[in-house]
Amino acid sequence: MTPIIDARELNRWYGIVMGLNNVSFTIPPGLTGLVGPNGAGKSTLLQIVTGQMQPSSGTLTVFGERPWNNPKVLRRIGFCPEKEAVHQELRPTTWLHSLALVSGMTPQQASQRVEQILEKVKLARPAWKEPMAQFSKGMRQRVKLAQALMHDPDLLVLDEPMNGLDPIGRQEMVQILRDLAAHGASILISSHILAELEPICQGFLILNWGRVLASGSQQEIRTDMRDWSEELAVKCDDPEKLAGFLFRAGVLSGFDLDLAEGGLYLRIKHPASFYEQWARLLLESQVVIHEIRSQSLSLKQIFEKVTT
Amino acid sequence: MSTPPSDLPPANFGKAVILEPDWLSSFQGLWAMTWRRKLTVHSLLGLVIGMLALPTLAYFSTEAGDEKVFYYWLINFYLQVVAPLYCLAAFGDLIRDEVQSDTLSFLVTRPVSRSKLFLLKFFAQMLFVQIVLFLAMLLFNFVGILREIPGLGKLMPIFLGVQILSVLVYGALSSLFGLLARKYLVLGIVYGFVVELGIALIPTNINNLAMSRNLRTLLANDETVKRLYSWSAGGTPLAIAILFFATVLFLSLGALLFTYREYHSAEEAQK
Repeated sequence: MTPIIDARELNRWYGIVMGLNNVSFTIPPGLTGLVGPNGAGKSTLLQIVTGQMQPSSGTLTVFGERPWNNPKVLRRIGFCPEKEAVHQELRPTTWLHSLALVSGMTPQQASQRVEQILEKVKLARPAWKEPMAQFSKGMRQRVKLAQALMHDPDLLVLDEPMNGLDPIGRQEMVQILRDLAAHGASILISSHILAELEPICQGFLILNWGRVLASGSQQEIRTDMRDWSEELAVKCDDPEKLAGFLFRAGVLSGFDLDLAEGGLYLRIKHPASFYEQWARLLLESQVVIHEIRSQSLSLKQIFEKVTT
Repeated sequence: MSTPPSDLPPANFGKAVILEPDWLSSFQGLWAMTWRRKLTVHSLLGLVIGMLALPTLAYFSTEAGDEKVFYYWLINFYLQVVAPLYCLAAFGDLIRDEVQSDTLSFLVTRPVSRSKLFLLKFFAQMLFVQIVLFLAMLLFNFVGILREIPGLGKLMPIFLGVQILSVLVYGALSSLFGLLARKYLVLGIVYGFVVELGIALIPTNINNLAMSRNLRTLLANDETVKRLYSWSAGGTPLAIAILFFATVLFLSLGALLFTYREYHSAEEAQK
């Protein structure tokens, strides 16, 4: 599948501060979540994708071309920024109509499109003719989403679109995004809260400190991180002896003891080789095992682990 | 990365409405945003007060038939000081205003090249400023009629032409200052003192570098102005050519700068 976005050795500095650090990845069509804590480089990346910023070095292409100052690519991208800034003096209809004209629609096409889009983002009709200064954060978020959809983009880029939305607003936003995806649009959506995106995105790109920590489907990310995310909880008659034995065998990256409960929590270095030796090591340790549980991490737990 | 979502159809790359924004439709959009944003009750009030202030002062300080005082208000103060400063504020803000209010991203992500966007935004602002200053000029004309200033009928067409050229050239220069520096007002005022007031007075051809010198040449085509100020109308075609050339030069530099330079708010740049 041809990727929509292709980044190769992408760097972006702000003076001496590094926004993106030698990032390479591809994003296929579909719904992709860009996840990372605040300051991870998400907004920087989205601004490069939408042609508002240029890389300091490396390349990033969208639909095979660089987006900076490229109307051909920008025609196919819709962008909804994180900030709630809108032209407060304007009414949503006026603003959207003007942006549609700037994008090349005729006044008639623009008027029709504004109605369609405001219906689509479920902005209440009485608000259509109100100055946006009076709007709540959620209403502004809807208008911002509407402007991103005005020219029917192939790729919708949303920077923290759930910010400021109440639970019903979030649910409606999720539904809108699912509808758009179902109609063939690709969506790149950022958030610092993985749980927001986990139910709607199939692909993820996890960023922290300007680096890609993991990318792929939920399953692929778990597999990628298995090496250092695998944990086992063991109950046995001598947890101290078992921990010492396994540690000396060099298969652990760490462990925690719960002597009161007879519990031992093992952090495994290389799961694949560990499980090959596991049965033999247990026999050699001569410790009686009562229970073994795998502490399989959810994507959210993995995210929290790698970003803190 | 991952395989595409299995329960969703792949993106249809040909789906988007292929738009080819022409200059006129894009201008219409930017013009609508420009005038609607400026004609809010608050801004309109400031504009009306500003437009009425100078003609009112001129009315009360001019005796009937006293052309010298009236022309001082009209040319020395309004055309050579107030109008350029208004241009500096209005055009310097052209892109900075969008940057500061975090709304530039809505424009630069439209399918329009950055140079075209800058030029269209400039022309939309230009139209608005020309209308405002045209109305201010009419108010001055009205004051002149009330004060029975002779020769106004002949001056006004020339004055209007000079004002249009003045807004063009100072607008283009101010928009360039706005792109160059956050403190464009300081830059513009320093430029005004050094070039428009300083170099303009040097009695060699170098004074052609000052736009005010060329505007004076054009105004001198009016007999009353020529008599009152002892300005020469010699070299009128050259003055017009210089004003147009300077406008094109400043606009080209502005478009070039906006094409290659990123503009972000300070907060944004720290992300």
